[in-house]
Amino acid sequence: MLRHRAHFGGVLVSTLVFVVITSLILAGIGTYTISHFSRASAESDYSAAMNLAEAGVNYELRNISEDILDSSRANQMHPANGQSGPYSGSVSGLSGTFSVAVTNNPDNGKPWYAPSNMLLTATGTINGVTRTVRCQGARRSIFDNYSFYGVDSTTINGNLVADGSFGTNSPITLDGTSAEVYGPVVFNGTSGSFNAGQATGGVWYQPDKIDWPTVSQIADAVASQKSGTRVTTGTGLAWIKAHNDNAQIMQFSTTDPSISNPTQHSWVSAGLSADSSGNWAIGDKDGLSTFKGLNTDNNTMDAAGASNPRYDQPAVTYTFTNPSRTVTQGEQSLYGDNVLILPGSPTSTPYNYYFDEINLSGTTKTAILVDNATGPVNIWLGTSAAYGSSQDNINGEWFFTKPGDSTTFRFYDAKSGTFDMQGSSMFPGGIYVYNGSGKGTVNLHGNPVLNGSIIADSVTVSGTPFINYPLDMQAANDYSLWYGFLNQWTEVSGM
Amino acid sequence: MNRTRHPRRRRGVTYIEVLVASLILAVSLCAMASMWYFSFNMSGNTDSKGVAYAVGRHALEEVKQNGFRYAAEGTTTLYYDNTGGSESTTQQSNSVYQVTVSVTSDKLSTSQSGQSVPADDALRTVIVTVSLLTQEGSTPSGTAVYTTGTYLTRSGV
Repeated sequence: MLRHRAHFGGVLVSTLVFVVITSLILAGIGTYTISHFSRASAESDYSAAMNLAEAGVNYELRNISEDILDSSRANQMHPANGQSGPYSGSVSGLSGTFSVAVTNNPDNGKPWYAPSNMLLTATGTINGVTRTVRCQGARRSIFDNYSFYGVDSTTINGNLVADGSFGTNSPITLDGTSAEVYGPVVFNGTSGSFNAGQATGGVWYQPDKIDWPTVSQIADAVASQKSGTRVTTGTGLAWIKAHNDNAQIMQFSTTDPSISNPTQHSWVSAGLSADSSGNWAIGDKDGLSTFKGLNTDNNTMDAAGASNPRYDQPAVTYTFTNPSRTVTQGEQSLYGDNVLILPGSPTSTPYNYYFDEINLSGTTKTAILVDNATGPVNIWLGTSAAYGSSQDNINGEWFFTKPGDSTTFRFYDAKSGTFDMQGSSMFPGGIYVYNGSGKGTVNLHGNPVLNGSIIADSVTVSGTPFINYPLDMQAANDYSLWYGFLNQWTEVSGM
Repeated sequence: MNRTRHPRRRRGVTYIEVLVASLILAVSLCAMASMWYFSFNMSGNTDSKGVAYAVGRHALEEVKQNGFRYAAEGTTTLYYDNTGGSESTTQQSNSVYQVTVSVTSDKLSTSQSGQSVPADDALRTVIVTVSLLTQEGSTPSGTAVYTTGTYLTRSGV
C-alpha cells in the first residue's frame, strides 16, 4: 500500500525556525549593544563619582581653612560633643552627592584637632556608583606666602629690597623711597596703592583680610602638640615658659683650646637660670655677665671672667638670584661678656627657648650663637609683669651655624611693644610679632639681611634691609594659616 | 468489486498555512527591524557617550592642570568632530560635540588694573557639559550627553 507522508505544517515550522534563529541573533546583538551602552554610562559615572569625591576633599579643605582657629568647623569622622559629623553636599549644577569627614586616624575613634595633619575621607555618589578616596591634608605654614606682612600698618621709609611677596591688611605708607618688591604686593581686604615702589608681581586686592593667629594662639598649638593634650586657650605661652629648653643653653668651653668653629660642639652648660621672680632674660640689666667666650685671635681660650672674650666667624658669601645680589659677611666676632649658644634640637621637634626679655643693646653685649645646623630652634619672647611690653631688641651679634637654612629658626614675640632689629648680620628663618590689632611692631633698620619672612602687626622699614624669601621656607612644625593637600591620595573603595 | 475511493492527499501547503506563516513572518520581521533599529541607535548612543566622556574628561583634566590659581574664570566653549578630534574654539561644519567649561569662584580678587582672579580663600566650581550639535543615534541635537565637575581650592587635590 502506498503511503503518503503528510506535508501539512512544513511552511509554518520553517518559518518558526527562521524567526527563532533570527530573533536569537538579534537578541544577542541587542544585548551586546545594551551592555556596551551600560558600560559607557558606567565609565562616565565612575569618573563623575571620583570628581565628586575630590570636590568633597576640596570643600572640606576650604571649610577648615576659612577659620583654622575654629575647631568646630571641621566635619569630623569621630566627632566629640558639640562637633559636627561628616558633611553631605553636592556641587551646584551637578547631579550626584558627596560626603566628607576628617580624622587623624580612622581607627582610633577620636576627633581631629588642628594643627595636626589630617586624613580626609570623601565619597562621591552618582547614579548608584560610589567611589571613596582618602588623602592627607596638611597645614600650610604662616610663613608660606609672604616675605613680609604688616597686618595693620606698614611704613617704608628706607630703601627696602624684598625678593618675595609683600602683603598687608591695611594701606601702606610709602615715603617716596625706592622700595623694590620682586613679587606681588597684595592688599587683603583693604584698598591702597603701591605707586611709588616697584612690584614685579603686580599689585593685587584680595577681598578678605587675613586672620592671622596671635603668638598666644600659636603657643597654644605648640604646647598642645608638645604636651600631648590640648592646653586651655591662652595658657600655651605659660606652658612653654614652664617647660622651656633653656637648660640646653650652652657656652664655649674654657678647657678646650682647639675650638676654632662652632660646629665642633665643645660646649658646656651655661647654667642659665631664671631670676628670683621666675623670669628669664638676656640683657645688660640682668647681670648675666659671667658667660665666657672664645678668643680665636690667637686661637686660645679666654680665661674665665676675662674681659671681651671673642668668637670669630669666618667670612661667608651668600648669592641671591632675584634680584641678583651677592651678600658677603666679612669675618665677624662675637665679643662682649656673654656668648650664649642655643643648641638646635636633635629631633624634628624644635627646642623652645623662652625669655621674658631680650635686650642685646648696650655696651656690654650678649652675643647669640644659634646652632640651627643641628636642628630646629624656636625662641619665644613672652610677657611678664616684670618686663611688660617694654621694647626688646636683637641688635647684638647673632650668628647661625647654618645661615642658609630658613626652616630651622623661628622667633615669636608675644609682646605688644616694639621689636627692634638692625645691624648687618644675616638672619635666617621666620620672625612673628602679631598679638592682635595694634600689638606687635617690628622696626627693621640698618642693613640687615633676612633670609626668611617677617609677619608683624606693624612693620616699619628704614635703612636698606634686604629680605630674601626662600622657596623652601615652610617648616614641618610651623603653625598653619590654611590647610591643603599633602599626599597619600588613595582610593579606598569603588570601581 | 467495489473499490472504495479515498480522496487523494495532495502534496503542498494550504492557504491557511501560508497565511499564518506570512503573518508570523511579518510580525517577526517588524520586530527584527525594530530590534535592528534599536541596536543601531544604541550603538550610536554608545559611540556619542564614549566620545563625550573622553572630551569632557579631557576638558576637566585641563582645568585641573591649570590649577586653582590659573584656571580661567568664566565660561569657555570648544567644539569637536564625531571622533573627538578637530578641536576648535568656533563651530565648524564637522563639529558634533560642544564642550562648555564653566569656572566660577565664590570670591574674587582684583588687580590694581582691574583684572580679576580667584581670591586666595575662594572655592571654585568647575562644571563641564558636553552637548550634541547633531543627532547621534537616537539622541537628539542639543542634548547634554555628559556632565561632570568638581570644586577647586587653594592647595587642594
